[in-house]
Amino acid sequence: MNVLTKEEQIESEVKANGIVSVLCMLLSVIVLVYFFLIRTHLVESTGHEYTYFSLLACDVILALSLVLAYLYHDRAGWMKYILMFSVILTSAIFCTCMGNNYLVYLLPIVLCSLYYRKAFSVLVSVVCVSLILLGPVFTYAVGIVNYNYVEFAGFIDPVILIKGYGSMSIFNEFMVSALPSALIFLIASMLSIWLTEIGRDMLIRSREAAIKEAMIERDVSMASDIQSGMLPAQGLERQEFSIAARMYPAKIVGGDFYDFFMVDDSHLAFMVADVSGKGVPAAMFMASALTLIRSNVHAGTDLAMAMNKANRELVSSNSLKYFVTVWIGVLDLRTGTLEYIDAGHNPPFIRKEGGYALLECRPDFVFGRKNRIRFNKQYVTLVPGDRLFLYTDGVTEAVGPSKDMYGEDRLRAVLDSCGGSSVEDMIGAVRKDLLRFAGDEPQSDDVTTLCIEYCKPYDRRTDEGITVPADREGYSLMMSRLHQVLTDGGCDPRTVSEMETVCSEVFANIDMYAYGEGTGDVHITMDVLDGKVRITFEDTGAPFNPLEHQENNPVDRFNERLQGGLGIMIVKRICDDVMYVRRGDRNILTLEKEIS
Amino acid sequence: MIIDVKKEGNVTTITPRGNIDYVTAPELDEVVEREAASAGSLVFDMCEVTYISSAGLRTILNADELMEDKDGIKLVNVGKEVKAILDMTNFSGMLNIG
Repeated sequence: MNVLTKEEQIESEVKANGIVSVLCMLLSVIVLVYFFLIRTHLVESTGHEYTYFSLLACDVILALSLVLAYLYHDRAGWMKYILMFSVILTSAIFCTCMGNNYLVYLLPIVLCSLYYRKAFSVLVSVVCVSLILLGPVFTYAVGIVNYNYVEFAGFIDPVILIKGYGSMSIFNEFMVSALPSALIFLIASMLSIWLTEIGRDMLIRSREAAIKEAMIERDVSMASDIQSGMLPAQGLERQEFSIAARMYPAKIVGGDFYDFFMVDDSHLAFMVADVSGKGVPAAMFMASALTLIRSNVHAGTDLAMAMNKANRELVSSNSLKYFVTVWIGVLDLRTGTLEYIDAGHNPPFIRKEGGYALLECRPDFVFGRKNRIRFNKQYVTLVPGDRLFLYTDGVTEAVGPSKDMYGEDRLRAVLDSCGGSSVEDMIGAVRKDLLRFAGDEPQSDDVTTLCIEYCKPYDRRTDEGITVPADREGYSLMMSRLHQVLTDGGCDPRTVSEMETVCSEVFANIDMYAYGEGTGDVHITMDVLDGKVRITFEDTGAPFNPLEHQENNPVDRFNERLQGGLGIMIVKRICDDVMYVRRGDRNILTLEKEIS
Repeated sequence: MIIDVKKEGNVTTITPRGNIDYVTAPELDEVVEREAASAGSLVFDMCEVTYISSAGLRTILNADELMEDKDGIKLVNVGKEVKAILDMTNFSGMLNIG
């Protein structure tokens, strides 16, 4: 859209009116001064004896238009004509009275370009150039002549004699004085009209730039919201550990991330990572890295295998050649064994009995950049009370006013000083110390910290499970045990009947599909824990992921494939979470449902 | 599974005494096919059914198709657990439930 809107036009005109009003005030002061100078004969005007009346009239008109401009400053439409009329009139009279001083016409010609209206600029220019041409004819008629010339017999009142150039004709006077001035002002007018258009274009362009900038700003701030929405906002409420993490992006969107989640009831995964790069592209890369790692690790397979797979998937979609450094650990809450992988990331601090020390890490290659990388698991055993502090290089490489880096020693000192404060407070203390260290230096990199304390081993008794043959006999064994376990666990009748339906479906599936014509065993565990029912089925049949089966539309009674999808659909709709893993030669299906 | 069958005129009422799953559904299938031949309409009394699996739903659907040209089928005394499954699978919109 390359026209100004009505609002913008009015806004620019109101602004121009303001500027012109100020200049009118200055002009009126100058005119007033000359009025007194001439009136008191301190200065002799070249003009007629009524000169000072003309000047006074100018001032009155200027004053009136100023009053109008003040009263109606927001009615831009006609105010510009009034103001410009008084400027032109004053210019004409002042020019005439001050010995045809054409220079004053510069004022209206320049000022009209402030209104960004071509037609208005043309109008003012035409009026001014016409006045320059006609002015002298009038002045000769009343006997005003230019200083430089002599002896002209006017029609009314001759003659001002100044020493000697001989006599001049009106025609000559016109040709040597008025015409060249008019021509010069014609050029000035063109310049002014051109300026009008440029000003208008710039106004439009700056408007468009502002709109674009606002859109980009909005997009980036939404990206930032989405990014922070991807990170877990609160710690997990468990007795076995406490965990806290924060990411402080340097720009509005960052390339750092952290994550923590339960892989299953007794395994906690947590990580921090740093994407090479910043801004929106790095944030988008971060989003896909985070999602891939999370989903692969969540699948519950071996950590190294999960990371290898996530790496391959990320490499195949990494067109911008970014990479991520990742430190990820999976803590077995039962034993305190921490498996971890260090993909080119800073080693975390670990607190054993004494103070904090860097955890020994053999770093692997960075994540997301090369296809054939194999990550290696390393191990450390935590005992209750041990803490780990994970961070990105935004912490240790933060720069202070004297251009030195924060470094690991300062970080260790802060961690040591925290003593027994909570993991949240430790995150806060490090942040505070970093801010104090950096002083007025701007934060140049994202700062991400994660702190975890292993509090006590996971000691909840979980179901050993039963192994039954995948046939009718096994089915009734399972169903009676299920009823027992759920009722004893305090489930309401609705949940019991729903889980019975679900397990009936799953068992039927295993009997009919996993073993086909043959037969085999099914191992089933049933737990009611933390307000959740959790049931697992393990069989050694053919690989069969029921979740991959199409959901047929059960309403379509003519659909012959009704057979397959209905049961799975019931399972998925009833359960809150259904997970399938193929581990070795076993199909493992886990069902979870919150007790209503 | 015990399945009661009661005939009143050309209305046959089938009462499965227990839950309908992949083990019991074939038995119910048999009864349905046998009764559908002679009955004008079939009524399923669901008073003793607390859950019905997809196999059971197929039996019901099968009965509905068999009775399509006659007076159809009807489900009565449907408990809220069974109703939930029927709703979930959109069967309730398709069947006559009284």
